[in-house]
Amino acid sequence: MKKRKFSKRKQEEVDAILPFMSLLIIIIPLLLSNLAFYHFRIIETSRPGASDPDQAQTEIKPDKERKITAKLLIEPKISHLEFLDESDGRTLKDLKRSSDKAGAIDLFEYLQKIKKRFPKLNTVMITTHVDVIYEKMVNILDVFKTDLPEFVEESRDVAEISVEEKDGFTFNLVIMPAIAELSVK
Amino acid sequence: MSKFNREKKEPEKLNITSLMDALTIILIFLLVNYSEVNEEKEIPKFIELPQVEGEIGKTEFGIVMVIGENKIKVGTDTVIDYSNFENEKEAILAKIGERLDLLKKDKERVIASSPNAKTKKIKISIQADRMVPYKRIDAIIEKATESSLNYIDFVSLNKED
Repeated sequence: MKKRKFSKRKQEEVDAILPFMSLLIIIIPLLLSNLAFYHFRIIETSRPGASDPDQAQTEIKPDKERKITAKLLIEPKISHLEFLDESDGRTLKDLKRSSDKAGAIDLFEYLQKIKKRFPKLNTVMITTHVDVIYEKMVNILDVFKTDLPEFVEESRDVAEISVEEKDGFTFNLVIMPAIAELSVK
Repeated sequence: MSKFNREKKEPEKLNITSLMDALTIILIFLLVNYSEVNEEKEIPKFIELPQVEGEIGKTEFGIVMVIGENKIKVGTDTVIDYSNFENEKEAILAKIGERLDLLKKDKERVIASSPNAKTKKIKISIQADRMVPYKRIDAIIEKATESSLNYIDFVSLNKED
């Protein structure tokens, strides 16, 4: 009699965990199918080309705000960051740093300072030398694709901020055709 | 009589406690390594992707193009072999162009059939070997631009701390 009572209690315990077991049997194959052994990183860029122009880019904007373009030239040893005034094509500043992560961080910090002064600056045109290897290029571009959440807060009173920018601003990277000759140092 | 008693003995009970422990550990491991990426979870063996430190952003692949030392893979099935890229450039780029046009049409069809699609951009996701010179990547980007594929993503691996 005592033995039967014990066995009945045991059976109830097994019955209680059966739904959890069923859940595990469903969840585990589902998770297995989506298992990621690698975590990829993606740097989004664009290239001006023969395609239909982007409607947003063709809109005529008021001239009262100065438009500045940043140009990044990646060479095997040195990277240049140049700021051009779009209205007259004048170079405002030209910086040179080593073509590595530390140099890129330095250039990016300067780019942030310029962005605070000229809020319309949101595009960096990238030109890469033909001999630069993929690893070097990706390491430099990754720095320039860093989110700037704090900056959005600071610039709120001086510039119009689009909905996308509120979520964390990142510069648009435009990839230009590669160059073969080294720039004059 | 004793033989009859042995036959009536209750069957042995299975202790599932250790099984439950194992399943719980597996569940935690799988949840940690869960990925929302539905395609290209494997890196082709002919390339070594560069590793970049930092936080992982969004990973949404477009038309995947894998560029190796002697091989280029366009999409999921077309593989173009070569021994010298510069000498065979024209033929390689022609093949890439043909394949890209087909893949682009497929993507356009998919986008057209799903009006609620998040983005209508068709992107090229470049996965190149870490030592591939930009010269080769640029020639391929130029070819993609001819097919009106102007959005280029450069893929790398996240460097674990």
